[in-house]
Amino acid sequence: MHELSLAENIVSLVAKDAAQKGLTRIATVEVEVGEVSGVLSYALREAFPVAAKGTILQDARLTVVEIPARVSCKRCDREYSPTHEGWSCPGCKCTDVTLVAGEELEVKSYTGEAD
Amino acid sequence: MSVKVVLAKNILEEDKKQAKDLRKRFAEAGVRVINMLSSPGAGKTSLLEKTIPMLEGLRVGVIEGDVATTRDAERLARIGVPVVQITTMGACHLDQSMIWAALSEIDLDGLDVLFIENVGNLVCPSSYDLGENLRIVLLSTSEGGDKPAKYPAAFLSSDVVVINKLDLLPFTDFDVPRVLAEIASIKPAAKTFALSCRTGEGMDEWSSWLKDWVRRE
Repeated sequence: MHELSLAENIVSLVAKDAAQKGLTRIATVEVEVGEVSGVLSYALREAFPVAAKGTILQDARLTVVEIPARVSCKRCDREYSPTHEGWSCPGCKCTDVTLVAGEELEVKSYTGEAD
Repeated sequence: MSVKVVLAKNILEEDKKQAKDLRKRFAEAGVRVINMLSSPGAGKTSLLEKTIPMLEGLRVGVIEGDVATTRDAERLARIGVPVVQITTMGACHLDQSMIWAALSEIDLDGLDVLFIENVGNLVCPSSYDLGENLRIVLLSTSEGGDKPAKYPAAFLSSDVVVINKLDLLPFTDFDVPRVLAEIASIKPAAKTFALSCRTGEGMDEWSSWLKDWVRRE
């Protein structure tokens, strides 16, 4: 539900960095969004042009890379995808597990041009 | 000429920095901060109404977050604690800048514990670290026991899970042991409590644990 404020964060992060590097037009932006980050990729894609309007990211194309959730078992070292039925280890059935991927919310890279 | 820049920066970087600053401010004031999450109507305000009088000897304040109205703040002001209401005007969660603004209206140094009652929403508030020392998520029996599995982020990010409305258990299909097992499968380290704000069942265990936690921190 807060994808617009996240899109604004993306725009300001990139605009600030680009200004320091003397880049004036941003062509592409790539972000990573984890499966359990609570962020909807499609909503972020829709919000991005709204946030970018009137900035140097106005014509930029946003690519959202979705990162699937991965859980690791501390006892048997097995790594697996969590299911809707629970996060316990399919190998040793224990619940001593930790999330190793899926919470990402990161601007990976962007491309821009100098005047 | 086109240039590719590898940025690798967290989208919530500024939020994380602000959360760190808030945590520092709370530590300086010697106040322990508890962020409360739940769906609307799970009983966050009721839990505060019943818990605060049980925390004798501790100076307690509340930051109350709602989309609209000051009704919850009025309820809590009645039990005699300092309350600051944040009305988000549509925003679905509290963020760090709202907490900073609220702090100007509260005497942090005069408090031992500050509760932040987040906007009723099991999704967005889980992404916002408000600099708290403890995160609690409430789940009421009338909501159904499938919530931890359906909204894992809220449970994954919380230290404590409180099941409320035990008095309504006979009227629901809520299976307490099964839900506790499901919570344990998502967050094995979570401390869990089951209680009823209405009848007082389970309140002693919960409030004495909370008092011990405040003193320990």
